[in-house]
Amino acid sequence: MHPADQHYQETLAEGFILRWGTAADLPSLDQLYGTVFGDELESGFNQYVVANTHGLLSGKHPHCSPEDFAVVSDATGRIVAATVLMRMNIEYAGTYLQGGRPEMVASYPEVRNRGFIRGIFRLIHARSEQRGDLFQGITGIPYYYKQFGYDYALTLGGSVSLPATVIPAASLVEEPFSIRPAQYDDIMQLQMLFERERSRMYERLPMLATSRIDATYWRWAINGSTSHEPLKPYTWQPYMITDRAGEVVGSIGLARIRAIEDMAIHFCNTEPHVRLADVYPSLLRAIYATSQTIPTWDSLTKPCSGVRLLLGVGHPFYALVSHLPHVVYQPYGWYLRVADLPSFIGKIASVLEKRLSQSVYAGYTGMLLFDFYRGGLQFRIDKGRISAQQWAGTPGATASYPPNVFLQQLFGLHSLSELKQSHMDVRANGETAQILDILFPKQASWLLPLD
Amino acid sequence: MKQIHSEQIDLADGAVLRWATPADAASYAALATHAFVIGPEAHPNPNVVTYAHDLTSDLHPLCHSSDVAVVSQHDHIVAAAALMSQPIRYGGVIVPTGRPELVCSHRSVRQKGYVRAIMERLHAKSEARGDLLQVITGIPHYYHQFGYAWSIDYNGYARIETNALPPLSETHPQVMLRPFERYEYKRFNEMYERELASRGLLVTTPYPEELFIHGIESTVSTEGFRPYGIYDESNACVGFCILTMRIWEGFNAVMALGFTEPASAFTHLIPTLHAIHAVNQTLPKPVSIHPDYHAIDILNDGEHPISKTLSALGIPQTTIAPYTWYVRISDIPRLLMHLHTVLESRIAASMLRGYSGTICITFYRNGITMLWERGVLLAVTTRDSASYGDTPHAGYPPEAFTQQFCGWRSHAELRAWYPDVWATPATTVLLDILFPKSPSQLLYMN
Repeated sequence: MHPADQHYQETLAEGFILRWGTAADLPSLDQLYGTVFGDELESGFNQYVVANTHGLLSGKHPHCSPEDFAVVSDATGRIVAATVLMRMNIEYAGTYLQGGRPEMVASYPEVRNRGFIRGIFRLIHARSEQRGDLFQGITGIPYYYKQFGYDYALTLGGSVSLPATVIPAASLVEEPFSIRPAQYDDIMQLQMLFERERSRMYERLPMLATSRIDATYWRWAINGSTSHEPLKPYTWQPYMITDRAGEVVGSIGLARIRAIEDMAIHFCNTEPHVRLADVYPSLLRAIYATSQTIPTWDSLTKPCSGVRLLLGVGHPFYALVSHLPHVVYQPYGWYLRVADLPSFIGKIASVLEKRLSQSVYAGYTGMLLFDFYRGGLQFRIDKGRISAQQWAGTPGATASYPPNVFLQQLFGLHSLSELKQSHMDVRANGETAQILDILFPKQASWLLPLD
Repeated sequence: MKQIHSEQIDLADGAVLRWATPADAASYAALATHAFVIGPEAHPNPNVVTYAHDLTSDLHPLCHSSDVAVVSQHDHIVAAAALMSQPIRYGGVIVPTGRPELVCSHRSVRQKGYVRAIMERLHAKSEARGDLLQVITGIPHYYHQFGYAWSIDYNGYARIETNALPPLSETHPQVMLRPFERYEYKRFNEMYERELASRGLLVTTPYPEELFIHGIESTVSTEGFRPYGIYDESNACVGFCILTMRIWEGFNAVMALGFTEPASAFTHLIPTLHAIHAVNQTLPKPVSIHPDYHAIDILNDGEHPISKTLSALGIPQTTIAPYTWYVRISDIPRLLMHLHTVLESRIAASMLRGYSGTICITFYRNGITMLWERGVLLAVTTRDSASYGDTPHAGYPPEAFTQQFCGWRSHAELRAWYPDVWATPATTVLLDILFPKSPSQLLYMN
């Protein structure tokens, strides 16, 4: 039986079973997640995570199905380790890519270092690949996921913190702009505003990889705030920015639960005819005022002391407030895994061909041979048409990357010259280096975790 | 240690791992010439033949025949590597260091783990004799699997084509080169050390007297160096240089160069380059398919000022970017305690003078805790493997910390490249003070 099959089971040492979860596992899953992720809470049990799990496995979540969680259970059926497989749909230079996102990875401390999570990831990857996902992405603890074939390949987060004391004081009796929770009727405008925001330019290039949010998810994001799961913790709630006449001029995503000292916003955009420069003072005041009504993680969470612009890399908001005292937080990274590079390259071939056609190598014919030291990739370019296939590796390689490091260039995180600087075993010279710079330029991305 | 020397380990397929004797020299040389062939035509490499003999001769001051691990099978050596001693100073403190070198295996036995077995024994021997580091110059990527990380620049050069040398004029002082004699070690070493000291280097290479003499009197290899004195017209020694001993791929390398007053690079560099050029024309070219001699390479690792000087003198140059030494630290707590005076002096010279506190760093599979009191490093201990919920003050993937320790990369650079490099704000300040980015120059002491 294939590991992706819902009925697949594998007996591990000491009678533990690796399998896919069922609805009957939910209470045991609650216990696992609430306990493992509750160690930093006063109560020792994380009810937010439990609520989030219920949301993910409710059958209503736009990016998760109730059967998409892999578990290890003991002889009594108790879940001791688990991971959920979400869907992660992105656009790469405008090309839609279907991916999978392992999330909610947990195991009890007493069963760690037994390979349970490794086994679970084997199932997760098998199902993700079976359903046609071209990649997997995960936001996770540092270093850990490299052992499962992932590497940091996109920025995650990146933010600027503004203390409340520097938020400009209101000069008018009535604020020119305010915010209100988004409603279903706002979805079309939300979507258009978000499309504008993810199309923004940074360093004269548009965002490369961006989150694709469809109406279903907007509905979920709006509904989550008023549904029977009020404690859904990790997500943001969309708010509309309105002018004095009540006209919508933009939108923001506000954290549902405040777990840090700052009130975080996850996206921020305005209509084309409205300057963010005119909006932001009112907006900061409105966000700070709203923060007083947002639930906190627990009673240990400190009072709100400012606003955190958690808007990814290169958001124009940062430049507008750069004259104010602020603290910059460098981005962390998305881990990505691409198990089948030829298929991935095939999917984005039109993007690469366009880049090539706009360069001095338009109409190029030749071969790029990538050595990944443990295998390789053959890149055939025939009069500008690109195809890729597996290749055994050295000798004869024209470019070399340690395993998975190529992903950093594929996703625009680092340029070839940066990678050559950071990894002495990244090598490419002459014509190959020039073509690689053209095909895979350094380019910022903006992926929101759509929990 | 005695046990390591006498051990023999049975490997798969009737192969035995053991330590070499001088009698293995020819077999080791035959293997090396098979493994290190040149070019797609697989031209024999005569240099490694004499080098293998040198390392197993029991005459090399940095390698004894019993420091060479060999895998023999059916009376043939099919894989081998030497464990040399590599002279290293870190912040002025000598660090005992081993250097696996001339690592080779026969094509017919690759992918069987023989080199892994050899490296494990070399590491065990190196650690047993007290080495705190292992360093290696080797093919890209390969040595990561044995715990090594890129960490020190290696063999970057300023290349001067001989046909671009400015002609000598009457205004140039007369300069001659003459190989040092064994009794001149002290004079050579003073100039060599002064040149290193002038550059604020973190990792440097002491030049042992025994190696100096070996290079003059007993080496059979052309893989090493020859130190020369630079003399003026009155036969006064006004500088030194260290040259490699053969023309390789069309050039010969100047591994170190310095002048003493009243000479300076501005006045004496051009005639010295001409004198080096004259010497180079007498050197052997062991590989016939290599281009004829056409260029002088000058080592510029460690931010050497030679490139700027050449530019100032209008001498055209091309830059050969450095490759990198691999460095392995098996016992970080022991190494840091060995270097406690260096670390304490950095704290003392910083705005955190008199610092007291504890710094916990995770390397994700293990970690360290440094205990400081009033500017004194009291202890460095190993932390258990990191677990979820662990709360250290900083994190580095294993290969990244070595890079900052060696001054090769700053914390900020590493942070930009590796999202799993992180530190709390206060710890970032401390780590920048303890392990600042600094230039180094590590000579391979063949």
